Amino acid sequence: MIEVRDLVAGYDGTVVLDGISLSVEAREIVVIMGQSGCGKSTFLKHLIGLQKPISGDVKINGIDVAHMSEEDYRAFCRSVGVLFQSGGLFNSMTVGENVAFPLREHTKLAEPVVDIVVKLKLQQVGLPGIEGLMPSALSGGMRKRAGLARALALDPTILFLDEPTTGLDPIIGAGIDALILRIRDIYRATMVVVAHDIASSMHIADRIAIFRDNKLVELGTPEQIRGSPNPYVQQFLNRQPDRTDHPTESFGYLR
Amino acid sequence: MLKLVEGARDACLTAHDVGVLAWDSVRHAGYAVRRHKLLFRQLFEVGNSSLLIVGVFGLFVGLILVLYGGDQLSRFNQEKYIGLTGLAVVWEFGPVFTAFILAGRIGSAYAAEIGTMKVSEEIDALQVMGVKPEAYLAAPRLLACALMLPALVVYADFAAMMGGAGMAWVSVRVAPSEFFRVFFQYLEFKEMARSLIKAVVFGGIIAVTGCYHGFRTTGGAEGVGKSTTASVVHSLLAILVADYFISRILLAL
Repeated sequence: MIEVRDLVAGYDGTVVLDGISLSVEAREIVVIMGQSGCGKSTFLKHLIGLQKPISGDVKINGIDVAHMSEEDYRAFCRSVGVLFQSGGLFNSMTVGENVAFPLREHTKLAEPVVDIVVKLKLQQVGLPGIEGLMPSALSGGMRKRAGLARALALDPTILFLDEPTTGLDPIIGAGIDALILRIRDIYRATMVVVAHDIASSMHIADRIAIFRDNKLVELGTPEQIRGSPNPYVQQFLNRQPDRTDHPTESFGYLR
Repeated sequence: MLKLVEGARDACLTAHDVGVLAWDSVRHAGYAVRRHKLLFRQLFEVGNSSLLIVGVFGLFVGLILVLYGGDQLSRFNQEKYIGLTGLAVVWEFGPVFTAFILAGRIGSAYAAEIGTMKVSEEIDALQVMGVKPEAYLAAPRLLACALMLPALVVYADFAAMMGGAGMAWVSVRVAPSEFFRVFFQYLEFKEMARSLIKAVVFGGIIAVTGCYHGFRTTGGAEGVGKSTTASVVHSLLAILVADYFISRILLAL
């Protein structure tokens, strides 16, 4: 379904991803984890064709994402849904207009039908009746769920979710986890999720990929990751800080 | 020396990127026409919302030009030719100063609006929904500016002429009928056309510069502020440079 081979990516001469190879099977949920700045979001941007690799390739259903024609890319976008870290909602539009946007761009549905689909999608993410609100009136969790409703508007077969539970309280986060699993079952969708939340990732993932210093250092099922002999993986899972010789040196002025 | 070379290289790269954006916007003009609501919103924003400021500005340009012009001409007892100051309005003051107003009011708003969309991932969201930002954001803005600026220039010219005619009567006792008679006697159609061609080009410069800086925005609120400032400064500079070259070309025709 998704095949990434020897992906090298970066900006202005700096390598951000170094030789990443990863495949995602149909209806699988793969969670990408790692420290901030290790290239997770950049990896996601390459999967959805927002950035072009320096070398290597990203193929989705056998088609190279980086070298699609404008027409092919438009067709590709019709089959994928993306949830951005901040929700990515258009702030100048109401929530309803946001969810309707892909429908109006890609289909010729009559307006009453668009309205019905919008209501249905918002209901699916647990936000019925908010189509008239502006994104600025929503809480963080609601913005993410509204973003998810927009990502689901065209019934995608592949979903890319960038930190869907980051910054949310545990109850809302657990709700979004349950929603992700339900969406996978209803839409029979393949998902790539970038996440920081270890408990959430262990719950929703079929496989977890751990990135470190721009490289993929571990890939496996949640059980395999838990039992990984890799010290960095264990440090990451157990939330242990990096060891330094003088950890409090910079606080000297407090003495 | 190295810095000079690097600066020249950066300027060339920027010019290339601006050119590509301009071409992409023109290429997707059909999209903007099909999404007529988008286009009308921009036309309204550029045209209707600028009427008051452009009108007041035009009026005072007319007042000031005739005030000084009348003073100079009266030294030679040639006050009756005060209507000729209107030609300066049509040639330069109308298109250039109206463009300056729009660069400050509209170009900066484009940079801020698109820049904010960029830092809040809205541009990325557009792209992954299969919509080209150049088509959805830049093309309607380019069309709106290129279409509305000539109309605003005619309106500014009219306001300036009204102000000028009034000031001619107050300062040098030339009747409005005489003011307009001299003006229309010497005004040629090609001068009016030249002014409107300039306005179309300036409108394009304002829209493309504003959108370009918006798309290039990085780094949150500070980045948006920098883009806004850069869009105004670069628009003003580009308008003056373009004015010189367009004038040279059109005068040679």
